[in-house]
Amino acid sequence: MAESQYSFSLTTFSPSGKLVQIEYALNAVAAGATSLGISATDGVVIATEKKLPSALVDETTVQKIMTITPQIGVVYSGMGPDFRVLVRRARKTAQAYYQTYKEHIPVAQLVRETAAVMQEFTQTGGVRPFGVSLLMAGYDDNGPQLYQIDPSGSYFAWKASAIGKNMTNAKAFLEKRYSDEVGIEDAVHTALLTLKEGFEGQLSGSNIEVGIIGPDKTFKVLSEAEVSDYLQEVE
Amino acid sequence: MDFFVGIKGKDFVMVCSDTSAAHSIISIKQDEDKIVPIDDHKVFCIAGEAGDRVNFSEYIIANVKLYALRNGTPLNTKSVANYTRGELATALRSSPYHCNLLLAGWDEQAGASLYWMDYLATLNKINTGGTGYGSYFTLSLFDKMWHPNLTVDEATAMMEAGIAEVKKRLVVAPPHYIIKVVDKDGIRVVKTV
Repeated sequence: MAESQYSFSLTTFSPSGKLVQIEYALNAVAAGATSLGISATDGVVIATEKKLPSALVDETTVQKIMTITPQIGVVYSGMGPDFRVLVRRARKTAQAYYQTYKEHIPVAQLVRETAAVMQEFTQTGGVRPFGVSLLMAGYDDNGPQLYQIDPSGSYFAWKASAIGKNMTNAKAFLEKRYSDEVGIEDAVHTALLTLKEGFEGQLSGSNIEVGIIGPDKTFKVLSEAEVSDYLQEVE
Repeated sequence: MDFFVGIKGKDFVMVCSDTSAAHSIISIKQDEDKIVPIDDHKVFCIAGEAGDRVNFSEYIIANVKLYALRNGTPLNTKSVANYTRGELATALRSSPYHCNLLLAGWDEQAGASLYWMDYLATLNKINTGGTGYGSYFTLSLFDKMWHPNLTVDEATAMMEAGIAEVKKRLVVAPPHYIIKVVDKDGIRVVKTV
């Protein structure tokens, strides 16, 4: 087994007070496909590019936006496998909450619990931080909400945000376009336009994924056909 | 034997409990308030094994408070009811809590609610109910008198009728009772008998 010199945590502080592994994890996120989210008055939309390594990949089996509970959905930028682990944990947390209280977990609480898991992996020996940032969208008694969770475990609530490769341009675009009074339909259009900004090639129902939660408080990943319909409205 | 009954009115819940604390044949005190507040808008009436009652209620109340502190928002009555039932269920097959309880609460969204739980972790949402010998005499009486738009005065009259019945027919009827109401303004004592 490894000598004791090498059994310290990967997340020990550097002299400048940084945790270098977290910085690198954020780099992994920044190298990932762009994802964004917009919170509207009556719902939240999250969307991502579905850039596949080859045209031979069966894109119908690739799912980047996942449902955690019927009221909460999540998308990521970064490493897909890490994302799947977090989704598993979040789903279990949500179900345990439901089993205890027979009520659905409020969005903010699920965000907190998930962030706590991510933070654990920055302070435990022998593990590395998760290489994903999450955008969690939900609708509960406190209205529609959008949260970002980083590899460090810090989380922020956003009115609109983007993560991944094109995030700076996307955020600038969103800043210009966002308004407090925008409804969910307009938010979807804005989301698609924002994705279009940094996209190489033509947007279509098969190379992006969109998830919406509207006034019915039910999270839904749009089908390819539904995405194409929205894209047509935007063109 | 503890006497607890609860009646759900239009937008309030009324609970009544006896106020005697006894050990075997000795009456320790006659003015013990056994209706315990969980927070501003919920109360527990817990009957059963002496140590279990207090231990269990304090445990639940502490956890309810913890939730409110952690999450900046209190639990609603339904959540507390299901949480409590879960704790009873988990303990049931190892070291059960021998308690029967009524949970009465008022929430903004759900309004007034009354829950009945027993030591086997049964949970029911009810309009009228009670635990102990006293409930045998009052349940059918309440069935006759209850309607969905009960006012506080009507419910008080029901309670007093129930207490009178218990005093008349139960061999070991407790002498004194306290009646409380939980509504949008919180918890208050209606009267002591």
